[in-house]
Amino acid sequence: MAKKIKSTVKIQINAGKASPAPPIGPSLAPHGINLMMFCKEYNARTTQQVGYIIPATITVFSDNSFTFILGTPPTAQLIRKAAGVEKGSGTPNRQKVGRISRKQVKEIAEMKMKDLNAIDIDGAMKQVEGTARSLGIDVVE
Amino acid sequence: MDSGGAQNLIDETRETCHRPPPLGAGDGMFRGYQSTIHYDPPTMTSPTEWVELSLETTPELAEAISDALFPLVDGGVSLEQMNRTEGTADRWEDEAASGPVIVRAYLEKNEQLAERRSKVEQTLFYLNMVQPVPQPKFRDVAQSDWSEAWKENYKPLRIGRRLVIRPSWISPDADAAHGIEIRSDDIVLALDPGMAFGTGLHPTTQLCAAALEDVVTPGMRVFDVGTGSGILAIYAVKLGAASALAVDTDPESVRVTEENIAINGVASSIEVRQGSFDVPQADGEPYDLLVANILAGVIMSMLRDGLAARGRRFVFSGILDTQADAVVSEAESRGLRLIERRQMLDWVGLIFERA
Repeated sequence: MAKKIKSTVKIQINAGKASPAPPIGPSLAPHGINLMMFCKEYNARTTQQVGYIIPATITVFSDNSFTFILGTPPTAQLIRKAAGVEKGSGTPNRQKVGRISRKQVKEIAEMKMKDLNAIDIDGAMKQVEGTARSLGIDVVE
Repeated sequence: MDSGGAQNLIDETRETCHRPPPLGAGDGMFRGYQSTIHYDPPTMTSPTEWVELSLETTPELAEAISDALFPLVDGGVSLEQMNRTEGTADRWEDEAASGPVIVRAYLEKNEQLAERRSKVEQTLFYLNMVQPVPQPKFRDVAQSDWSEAWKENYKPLRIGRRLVIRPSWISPDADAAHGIEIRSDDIVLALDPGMAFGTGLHPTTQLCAAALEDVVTPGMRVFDVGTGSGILAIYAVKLGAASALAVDTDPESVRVTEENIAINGVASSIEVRQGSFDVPQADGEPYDLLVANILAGVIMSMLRDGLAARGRRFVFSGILDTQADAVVSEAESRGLRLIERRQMLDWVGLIFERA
């Protein structure tokens, strides 16, 4: 049954850590969303990704029912985890803080494929490599 | 949009910026940004009050702002997009919302507020040098602003075979208007879940309530681990259990459960304590029934830590069907035997007994 979409709310939070505190409470409650229902669903479905930011995109319908889909962690976070570094370089052109392999770039590109504006895996890999460069992380063979 | 550039910007900001941005610097939308922000001094230390930052922008810029703010704010960031079109979609994925995006982020009101706010302002300042960032609005928000909002959609509902849950603020006279007809053997439970888990709406609560109807026998001693609103402990007692111990690690849950057991007249039969399955117990006797509707990972971790010793029969839920096999094998390795597996949507309820 088609229902009219009222709005979408994308919440960027840490996997497995949803609670009715901000940003969830004040962002979702005005839409009539049952906060604890959302938290239970989100936490159960993200237990495997604890340690990553897993965005949830919630679609709110005109009757205040909702559904949500989970996204993938930000590319930069995936690259930093793959390189084993806490943060990117402040001066990525001069100071390199780590490196990742082409194989890792491909894994990240495959994971992010649906979120990137890339028509094929090569294009997605180029974008991932670009993000890595901007973090001061080298891509090695 | 890709987050890499914004992430890098944050890192750069953190490493190179040890002084506040110069007043009056920047241009366009950024001008006056510093001088127009009204801020109450950070006198509150209560964790129930926050300062909300919000700004309206394009979807592309919203992602960059969100990535930049994420490490600096509490909990995370929300991006809300109102739908401007009037259409409907057969598959909602086909019709994305298309209006401007409101980015919202929150800082707890405590003694670090001024310092943290200044970091946020610096970050937006540097982001503004790359692309114009609209001026953010700040306002105070309190938990009470949103903790009541969802109640509008919380109506009496029937779950299991005999349980009617009636929000405690709704009169029994309104049952018919909500399509509820009370039958003679129904058990009506008045509930105000507050900000605790267990409204009765979730499939896992419904699985557990139905399981209790089948396994609770008169005179039983029940242990509800992760009680949330207290709903399952109260239902167990209403179904004939002699007593229940309800525990939760969340103090809000303890408060809410105490209220709910009082509303339902079962305060003398239910003891509520803050803690987990390992709360000290005077006699050390295993409970006749242990119910835990939490999450697969939490239940497995409790099993590894000795949960199986605290009961004779067990009802577990909060488990997705893809996680059920792992929970079963963990439970079996701890000496439990699976009696029944039930499913509602992709959620599973498991009933075990000690082998």
